[in-house]
Amino acid sequence: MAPSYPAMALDAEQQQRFAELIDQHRGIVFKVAGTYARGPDDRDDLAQEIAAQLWYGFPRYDGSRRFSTWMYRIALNVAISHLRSATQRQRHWLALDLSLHDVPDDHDADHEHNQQVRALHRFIQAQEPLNRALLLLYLEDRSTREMADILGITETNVATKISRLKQRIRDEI
Amino acid sequence: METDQLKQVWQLLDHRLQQQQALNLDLFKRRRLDRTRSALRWMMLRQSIQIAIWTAVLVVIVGPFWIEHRATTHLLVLGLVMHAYAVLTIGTSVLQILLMARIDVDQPVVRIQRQLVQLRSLRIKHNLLLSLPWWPLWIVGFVIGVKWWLGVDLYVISPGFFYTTLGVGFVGLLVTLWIARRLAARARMTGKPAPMADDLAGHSLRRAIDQMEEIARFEKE
Repeated sequence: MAPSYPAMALDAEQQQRFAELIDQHRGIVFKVAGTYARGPDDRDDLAQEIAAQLWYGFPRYDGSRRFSTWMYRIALNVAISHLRSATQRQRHWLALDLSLHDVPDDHDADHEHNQQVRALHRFIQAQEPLNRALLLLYLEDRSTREMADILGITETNVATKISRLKQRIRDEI
Repeated sequence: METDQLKQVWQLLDHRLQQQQALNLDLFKRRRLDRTRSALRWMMLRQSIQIAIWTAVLVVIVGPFWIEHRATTHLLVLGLVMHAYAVLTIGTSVLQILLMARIDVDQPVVRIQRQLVQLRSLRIKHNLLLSLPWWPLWIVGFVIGVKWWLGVDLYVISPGFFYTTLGVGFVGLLVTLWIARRLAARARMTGKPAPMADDLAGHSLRRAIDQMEEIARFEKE
C-alpha cells in the first residue's frame, strides 16, 4: 500500500523551484532507491515512485525547513512501504544476489574495492527497513539531530543506535 | 572494516550507482502520476461506498425490521445480528478512512510506518471479520429479506431449512479457512503470491504484527 498525496497543481514558479531543488538533491532519490530496491528495474520503479510523491508533496513543503530533511522523509517512507509491499508480493522469491546488481563485472577494476562494495551492499541489505534508513543517513554523514528529525526518534536514541551500528559494522564487515 | 573506511566505500558505491544510473527522473510521467494519485483514493472511495450502502441498509431495512418485530424473539435476534454486522462494517470503514486521512508521508518515518502498518492490519482484520461470517450470515439476511418484502417468515415455515443452512454455513466457513491455509502454504512453496489466502489464513496479520513489533523495537532500543 503506497501512501499518496492528493493531486495538487504547481504553478510555473513552483515547478521551476521544484526542478532546481530536485536537481540539487537528486542524489538522495538515487541513494534511497538503490538502498531499498531489489534490482535495477525495481530501483528505477522506486525512484519514479519517490519522485512522484515529492512532486505531490511539494505544495506542502515548508520552505523554512531543510529541503533535504523533507526529501529524506518522503523518500524513506515511500521506499520502506515499497519494500514491505514488494516483500509481501514476492516473499518467497529465491534470494537474489543483491550484492551483484550494482557492481560492474570489470576484471580490471580494483578487486579489493569491489569486495568491499559487495560486503557493504550485503550488510545494507541484511538490515531491517528502519535500521537500513538509519545506516543510510549515517553513511551520508547526516547530523544526529537531522537523523532524529527524519526518523522521528530522539537524538539520544539515534546516538545509541549509531554506536551499536558501528560495532556491528566492525564485527560483520 | 572501520567506519571511516566504510564511508569511503559508500562513496565509491554511490559513484558507481550514479555512473550506471540511466534513469531519467521524468517527474511528469503521466502513467506514474496517475497510478500514485489513485493509490489511497481508491481505497477511500471503496470504504465510503461501503459506509453509504450499509448505512442505508441499517436505516431503511434492518433497524425498522427488528423494531417492528421486537415481540417475535427469533426475528428480533436475526434483526439484531444483522444490525451488529452493519454497525461493525460501518465502524471499521470509518476507522480505515480516518487512518488513511492521517497519513502524510512528509512526517517522520517511524510515525508514518506505524500508521501504515496499523492501516494494513485493520484492513486484514476487516477482511477476516466481515467476509467470513457471510457463510452463515447470508441465511439471516435471506430470512429478513423474505419477511420484509414478502411477509413470509421462513423460520416459522421451515425451521429445519434454516438450521440446516446455518449449519452448512458454519461448515463452509471452516472449509474456507482450511482451503485458505492450504493455498497459503502452496503459495509459500511455489513463490506465487496469494494475498487473499494469506489474509484468510492469518499470515498477513502475523506479518503486520511482526512489523509493528519491529517499529516498536526501533523506537525503544
